[in-house]
Amino acid sequence: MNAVMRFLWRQYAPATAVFFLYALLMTLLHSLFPAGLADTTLGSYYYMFPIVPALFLLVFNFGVHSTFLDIALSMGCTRRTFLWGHQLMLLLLTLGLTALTALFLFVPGLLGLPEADFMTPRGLPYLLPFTLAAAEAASAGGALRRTRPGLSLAFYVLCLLALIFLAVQMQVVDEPWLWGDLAWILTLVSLVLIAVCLGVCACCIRRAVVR
Amino acid sequence: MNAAVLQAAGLNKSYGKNHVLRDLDVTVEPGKIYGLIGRNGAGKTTLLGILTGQNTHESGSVTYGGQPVWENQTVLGELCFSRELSETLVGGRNSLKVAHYLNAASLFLPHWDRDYAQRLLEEFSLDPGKRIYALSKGQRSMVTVLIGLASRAPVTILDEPAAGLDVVMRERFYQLLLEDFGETGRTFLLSTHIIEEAAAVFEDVLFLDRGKIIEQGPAEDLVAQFHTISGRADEVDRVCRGLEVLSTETLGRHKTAAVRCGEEALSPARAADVDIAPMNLQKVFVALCGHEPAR
Amino acid sequence: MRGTLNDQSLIYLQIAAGLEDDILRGVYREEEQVPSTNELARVYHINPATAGKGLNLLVAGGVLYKRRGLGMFVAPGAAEKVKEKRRSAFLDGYVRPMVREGRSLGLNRGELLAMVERAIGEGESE
Repeated sequence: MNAVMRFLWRQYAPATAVFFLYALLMTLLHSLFPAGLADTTLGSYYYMFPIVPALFLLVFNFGVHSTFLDIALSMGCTRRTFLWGHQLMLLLLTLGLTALTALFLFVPGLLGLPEADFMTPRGLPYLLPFTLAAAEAASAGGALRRTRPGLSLAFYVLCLLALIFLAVQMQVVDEPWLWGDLAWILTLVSLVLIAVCLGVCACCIRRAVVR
Repeated sequence: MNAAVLQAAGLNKSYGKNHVLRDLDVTVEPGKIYGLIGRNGAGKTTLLGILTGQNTHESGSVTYGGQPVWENQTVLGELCFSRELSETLVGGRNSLKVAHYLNAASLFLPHWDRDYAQRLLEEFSLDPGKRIYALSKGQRSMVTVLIGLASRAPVTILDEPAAGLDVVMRERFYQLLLEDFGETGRTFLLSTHIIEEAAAVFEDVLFLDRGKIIEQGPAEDLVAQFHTISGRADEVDRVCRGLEVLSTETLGRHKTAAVRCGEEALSPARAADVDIAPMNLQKVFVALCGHEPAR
Repeated sequence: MRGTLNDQSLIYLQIAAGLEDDILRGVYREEEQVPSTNELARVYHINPATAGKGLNLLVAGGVLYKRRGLGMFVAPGAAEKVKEKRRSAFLDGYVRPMVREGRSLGLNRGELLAMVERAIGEGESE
């Protein structure tokens, strides 16, 4: 397990670093130009903050299932270890990136700088399941890439949907009286998506062979 | 788990309608250099993948020291199957760096020898920062060899290690292999279809033909059983009566027969007016397995 | 030792024959150490087990002996043993083929013996 984690971390570490720098830059800019940011392009990058972790995890899950699974298996890693190692990595990353997002949400306020307003604090708990859902959908897509390219594409579409759900959820949590049950419906859908994609990944990995 | 026997029994593997391995049995004992010899498309890579738990199979068992190999982390740590690196990956060319593979090897292979890997990198003049698609076929082979040797795994399997190398590097490879074997006595299994060059390096050989291991045992013992008898056709025929003749070639009244028999059966032939010559491993393989055109 | 191996006979036999030649030539004298299996393997690019087989053949013939932990050494009287062994193989290895070849060339007894005498005479005058 140790080997898989270290191996995968090497893939995700640069992405995590980039995310951290992005978060830092955005927060800095917002602190310096709180009003002027709203209508600019940088502004739209800023307000995308909640879905950015998901985006990063999505992009970097592309290669994991074919290339890195291949390498791991060819060097004697078991399929079970890779599956759970990867899932653990996704969980830890999602937790970590959520924590970082929370950090950047609260820190400016605490430092006496203009408060961060890229999302409502009430949206924080939902970051974890939604981001994880997007990452899992991308993983499933990657896992199917070699054997069922058509199905693989379908999962990438699901992944984009998860991102949309995330964006919507951030708006919807603030006005529950307006949207009714949408908030917990979307949450349920995300959890189901996680379960399904996990199943797909497990199935694909169990049958994987080194080419 | 120090030195154990890698064994397969009753293996069956098909790719669609192609029944590649049929009820295959093979035993790899510790402390020897084995040659797995077979024609192109015979299923060498498939067999090696199955022996190391990297490929699936329909029926049969693969064990190492009595323990099943499939999904068994302890056993897998003792085996190393160093394959050809592919130039392309799903979605494009292989833009991973050599260093990437070496780092993965150091993480996954429990016996990895970092210093040895470094020495081999220098010996092969490989730049770890270079990407796989930018390497020549020979250089890719060298990376495969490097990973196999530096793995220091008790059972190390190399798939066609010499195939991409030029003649100088091939000689150097056999030298390195023998040096390593001399030092560590670990088990090596090399698959090849370039036979004669490597023949002297193998202690035991495995001939894979039509889905089965048709010959298994010490190379020299196998070779000692084969001879060519040549001379005038009627003399040759007389002498070969009662012997197992594998193939014959006739040129006018001159006939050459490839026979398989023991030394005692050969003594009447030695008294006759025919030339008796030994057959080298390559010729033995062709005599046994050269029955249909290559795929 | 012969420089390279050929494919005319089994490798371990060639290794053994090569060492015997060297003992006759005085390359290895009595009680001197002969190359180890690893050294032979390195020089000839062969499997150490094959080299070992050749050495063991000589040990069985009393030409070499093993000193535990040190290696293989030339036994006392090795040169004589090699000569004797080759003498008994001489008939089968050289004389019989020569006679057979002579017969196939149509030489009669007298002609063949005359040739042998001539060769001996030439050898003596060298």
